Amino acid sequence: MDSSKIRTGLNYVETGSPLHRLSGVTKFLLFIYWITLALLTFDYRIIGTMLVLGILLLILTRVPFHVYRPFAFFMLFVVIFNATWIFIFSPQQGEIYIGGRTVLFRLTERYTLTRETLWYLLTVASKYLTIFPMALIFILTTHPTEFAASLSRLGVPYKIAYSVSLALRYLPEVTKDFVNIMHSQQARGVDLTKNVSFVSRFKNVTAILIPLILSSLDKTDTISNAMELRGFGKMKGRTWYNRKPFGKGDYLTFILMAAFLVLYIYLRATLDGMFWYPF
Amino acid sequence: MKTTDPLILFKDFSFQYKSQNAPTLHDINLSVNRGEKVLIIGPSGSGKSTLGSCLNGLIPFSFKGRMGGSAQINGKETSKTGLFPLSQVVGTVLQDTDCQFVGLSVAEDIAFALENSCIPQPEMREIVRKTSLLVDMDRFLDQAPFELSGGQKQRVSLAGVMVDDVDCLLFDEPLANLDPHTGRLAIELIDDIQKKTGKTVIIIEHRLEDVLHRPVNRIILMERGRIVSDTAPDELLASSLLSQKGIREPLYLTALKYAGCPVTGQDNPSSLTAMAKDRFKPALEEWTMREKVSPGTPEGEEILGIRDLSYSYDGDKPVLNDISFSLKKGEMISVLGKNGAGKSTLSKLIMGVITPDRGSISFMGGNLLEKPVNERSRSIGFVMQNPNHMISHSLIREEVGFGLDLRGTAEEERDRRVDDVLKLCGLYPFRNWPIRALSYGQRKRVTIASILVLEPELLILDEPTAGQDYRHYTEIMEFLTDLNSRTGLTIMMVTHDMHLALEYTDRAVVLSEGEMICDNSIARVFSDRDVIVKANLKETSLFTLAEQWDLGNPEDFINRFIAHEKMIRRETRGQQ
Repeated sequence: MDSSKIRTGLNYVETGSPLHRLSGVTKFLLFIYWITLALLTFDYRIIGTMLVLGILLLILTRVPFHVYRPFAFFMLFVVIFNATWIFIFSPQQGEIYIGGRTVLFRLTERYTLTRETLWYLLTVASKYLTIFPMALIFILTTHPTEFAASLSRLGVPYKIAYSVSLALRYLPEVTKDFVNIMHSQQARGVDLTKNVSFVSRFKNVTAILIPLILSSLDKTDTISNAMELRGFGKMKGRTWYNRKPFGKGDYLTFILMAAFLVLYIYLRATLDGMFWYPF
Repeated sequence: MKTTDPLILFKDFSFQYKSQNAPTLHDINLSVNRGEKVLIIGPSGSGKSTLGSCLNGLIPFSFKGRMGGSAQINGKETSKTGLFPLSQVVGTVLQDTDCQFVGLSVAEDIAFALENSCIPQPEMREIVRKTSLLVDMDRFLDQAPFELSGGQKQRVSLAGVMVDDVDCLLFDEPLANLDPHTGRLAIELIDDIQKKTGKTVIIIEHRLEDVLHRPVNRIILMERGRIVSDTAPDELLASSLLSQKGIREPLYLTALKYAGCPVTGQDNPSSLTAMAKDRFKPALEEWTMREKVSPGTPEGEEILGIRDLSYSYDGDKPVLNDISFSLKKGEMISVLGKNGAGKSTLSKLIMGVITPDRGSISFMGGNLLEKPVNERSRSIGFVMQNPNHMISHSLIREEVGFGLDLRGTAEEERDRRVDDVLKLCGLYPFRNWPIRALSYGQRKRVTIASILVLEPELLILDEPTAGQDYRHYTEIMEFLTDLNSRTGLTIMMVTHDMHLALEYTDRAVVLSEGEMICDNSIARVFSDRDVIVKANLKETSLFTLAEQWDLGNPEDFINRFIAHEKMIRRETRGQQ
């Protein structure tokens, strides 16, 4: 196991873009709104618009592409993989949902690609893909404590909201301890490679986990004492250093969200059936 | 200073933890006035940390137990005050700054107490800005904790308790996790803040000389839960109490003692610069001249050879750059350098858990880099700084035998070897004890035993004495020295403890920013100002003494001191 050169995952990246200036509450609500809308529709007019809009917003964050490139490719892969499996298991899915059978390409009798199925697969793939830019925007532009502050504004008790921030604070520490403990146990002869049987490998992993868990518990005690000594839990509420007040951008976002919702409902109501199929 | 109005007043105070069957503190009578600066010293287990917890309210509000007598802060019994009101009076800076740093950025962490008091945001930002200026962290407000050094984290912790405008600042072992230079800066910062704000300061430490870098009003010495001395620093230093109670006195005073100079309270022993040079100089000169010492160069075959070793974690910024040095069989050396200098990376490269980008490592004539980790573990042992990070079994015998089990050693041989090593490490009487019942120092010993049982040729120890008081420090180091001389085991210690390097190793390799800046005899290293600065060490007071009092070449003086020290240690060992 070579864990020496670990790359960090996705994190908050400060660029000062208009999206960074939005309050965490707004972005959190927008994210939930986005997922809900995307999952509840099969109308490509909506899905397409959301996809383009999401990508435009993602560009607007000014976070360089290379930061999330691996995640973008991974997501694309997952979506295509998913569509392929749908086709393998039920190649007639699109015909059933949309109705009609316009053959595009015949492989065997069962595996015949029809335009309806292709449209169906494109719709489903795009639907999932729509969520992705918004998730990235949320992660890349919302400072973790601002997120905690938002949760508490949305009614989550602050002790729970703060634990989100604490988890993010101590995750790197625990990772560091884990790597150090693993190294020292390896240097003592604990073999984590495939050279040993599964059972002894499992046993060897516990030689790392036990010290990690015990020392983390010790740390938790110290941390909670340190927090109490600084008045955590003293009052019913708490203020947040990093909470952003609502600004023009936030109100504008809410207005746009409402407008889009009206359009969404209108399109939904006037659509005959679940899918929008222009052909 | 209003002497009539003590901030802290303890009368016949005692405390017993709920889980213990005897009191940890007895008959504590203590009074601290506003604006005073007091140092509480004592060996591990003397109750000094417990006393600290009684001051900040963790006792009795978080740690339950039985209190006796009276403990008043600001004229009120602490037990009737509550943890939160007390934390507005006594602000605590904990030893483990990582645990105290709960925010995701400097500014947020400083603001933590204000957030909890529901201070409105604009006001909060203003207080944070002002307080960060006071501790010189105003340029780092947006930094995340992992981007900061230990010293910077401590400054943030200090700012985080000062936002509450407390009356008293309590520092629990502020030097424990800092390198010598940063430790010195911390002591200077505490002193400056106290002068600027007039707050009462209480420091709990066992590193006396380092704290005395700036003056304190009073030193309270604790032992076995009692206050055994409460006097001015000069008086305590002139007495024989320190060595009796297992506290290390300042090195310059030890040197004066070795030279046969009687030191009294009137000689200002707490500050080297204030002492009368002319009164002691002749004796010191005579002592230095009495014997010309120069340490011999180590002989013997090379066991470890490191050539042009380079490594970088991200393929861009080198953590180690072209390091070359060699280790002779039976040597005991130290690798010095500040945090981030590349010391632990070096150990990891030798252990084989990471692979170098360039360079070679030879071990006993063979190419070490060709061998995988578990093969190297047969001849090279590694002991981590924190024993709790190594121990994965609940019984001592199991833990020590674990490495042998992994190698499939037959039960009979395993038991024999475990018994042998337990005897060697003085752990045999405890062999069937649960590890939980052992002290930190004993656990350390268990981890060393669990490596020694594998019969390594080379033992690498990361900060072997971290977190231990002078008595345990001496025990561990005497044990390692003894092991080294009896079995010829080669020992490499990675450390920033200057005392350890000075007293127990002949040679030091010094790293700074990934470069090897020095590989020389220990006396030479500690008299090279350039190296001292680059490696975040500090001058030992021996060097300062030799230089300020014109005692000739500081290196000769340090060598003389080391030789005398070793002679005394041999004598005491002989008596035992």
